[in-house]
Amino acid sequence: MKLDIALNILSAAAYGAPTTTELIRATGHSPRTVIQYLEELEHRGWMTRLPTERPGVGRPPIVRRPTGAGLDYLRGAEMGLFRKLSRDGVRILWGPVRALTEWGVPFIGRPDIFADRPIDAGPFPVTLEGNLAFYDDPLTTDDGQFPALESLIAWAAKSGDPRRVAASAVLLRDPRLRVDRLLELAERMGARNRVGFLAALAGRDLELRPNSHPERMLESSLPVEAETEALARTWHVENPISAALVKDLGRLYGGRP
Amino acid sequence: MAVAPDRVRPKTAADLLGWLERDVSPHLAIETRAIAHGGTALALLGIKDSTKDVDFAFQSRDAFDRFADALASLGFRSRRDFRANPNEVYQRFENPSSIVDVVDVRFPTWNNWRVTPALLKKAVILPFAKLRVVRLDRDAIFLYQTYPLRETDIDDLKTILAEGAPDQSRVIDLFDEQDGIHRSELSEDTTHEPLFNILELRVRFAAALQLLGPVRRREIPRIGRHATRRFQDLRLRRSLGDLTRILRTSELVSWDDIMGRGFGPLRDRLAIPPRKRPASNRHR
Repeated sequence: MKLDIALNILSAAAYGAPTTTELIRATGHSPRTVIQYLEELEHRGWMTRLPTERPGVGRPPIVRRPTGAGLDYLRGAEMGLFRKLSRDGVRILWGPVRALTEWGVPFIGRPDIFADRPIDAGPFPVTLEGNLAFYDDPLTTDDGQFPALESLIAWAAKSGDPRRVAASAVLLRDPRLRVDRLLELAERMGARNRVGFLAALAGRDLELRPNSHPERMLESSLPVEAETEALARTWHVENPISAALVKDLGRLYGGRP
Repeated sequence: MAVAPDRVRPKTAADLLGWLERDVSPHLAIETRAIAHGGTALALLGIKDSTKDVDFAFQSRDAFDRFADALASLGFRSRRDFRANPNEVYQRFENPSSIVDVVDVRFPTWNNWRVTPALLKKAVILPFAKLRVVRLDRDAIFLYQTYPLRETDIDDLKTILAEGAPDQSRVIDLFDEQDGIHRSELSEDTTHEPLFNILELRVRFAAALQLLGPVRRREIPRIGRHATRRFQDLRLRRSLGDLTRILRTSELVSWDDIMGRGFGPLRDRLAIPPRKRPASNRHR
């Protein structure tokens, strides 16, 4: 049994209650491989079947989930793999899900990593960030290294994902934020106007002025409040996020409303 | 980090399954079917890692009441009773001390979507003693997520697409089935104007596809074209962009004002003969 395939299948099954067909799609392995590994993992006591039924006629699909032992094995193997990847000369930090959680916006989910180049990271979804400034001054813990708060804010502001952009605005209120460091990073990562706009939405005064170069926040334009639209124009930000979503996420994750 | 005490916690599939099995199912004496929707369905599919919304719909008033009673036994209190659509009962239950702290329940529809045999064809039922949790397939969930139009819902659609395009024929067939149900009700005497449902269904479907952006839309070209065609068939005087803005910023859309005198002719044009109701739609 190859470890990376076993981890990939365990990891995919740890979130949700997928059927065998759905696991095949999620993992990208062949049906034969997935079925063989599922049987092996079940045999070792790392996975168990959930009872299922069909609404109509037909054989019920098989749904398997990791057991407690399977989850413990998965967590241990994930930590080992993260440490191994960190030793291979690639810049590696824990990815958006774990990093945002570490800094106070708990997006519970499958562990992922940031890397500065494409790598085979097994079960970890990889977020490529080629700007080396992002990896400076990481937060080092017993569980591995996370991006600095300022790096994460600048990255999330330019991620193009509405949830992560809104999370950036929540993190901007964090009292541990080093404003000088953030301004420098935002400049180096090409996110100056987006960070300035989000800070204005979050009510944090960074004493920053917009530059004339327009920045696009989201892939496509979404309707926003008239005030947000005016603020985005001031900051030369195209396709801005709405103040309502920032407020919603702030309420969810502990920011001041 | 300081965390506001009233925040809504994100729930993983493991949280949900454990809560349904250990907490909810012992409080149900009669078999009760709950259909997972929205973020809950995505989390149970493994497409989304966690959800802040826990959404269930019920096909019968009895099932809805039994589930609500079970929640009450677990210390949940009903906080809100929404009635945007007089045909859809929508209640929010909250219990800050429970791992699943907020539960939205609806009956007999979810955001106007009906449960039909075609919809359930690829669903899986997860049984927990007397509780039967219906987990719909990704095609059905993709279609249903086109309705709310919030940024997070559009993001959910993109997350589904990131794992591969849904079965376009199935999504189109399911949409047309729902559209057909509403159209067949136009000639019946109902308490809620069925034309509103058709307008909401078609405009929201087209708006969601528009909001996905051109790159994502290219992954599902047939669905995109179908949504545009169904919207254009309405021949409304307002642009899709205008209507999208209204739908995303208003609690209730005044279709009377939008339609003006065009209401009657559109009604006549869309009406089709009443159809036999699907068996699964009957109150049990």
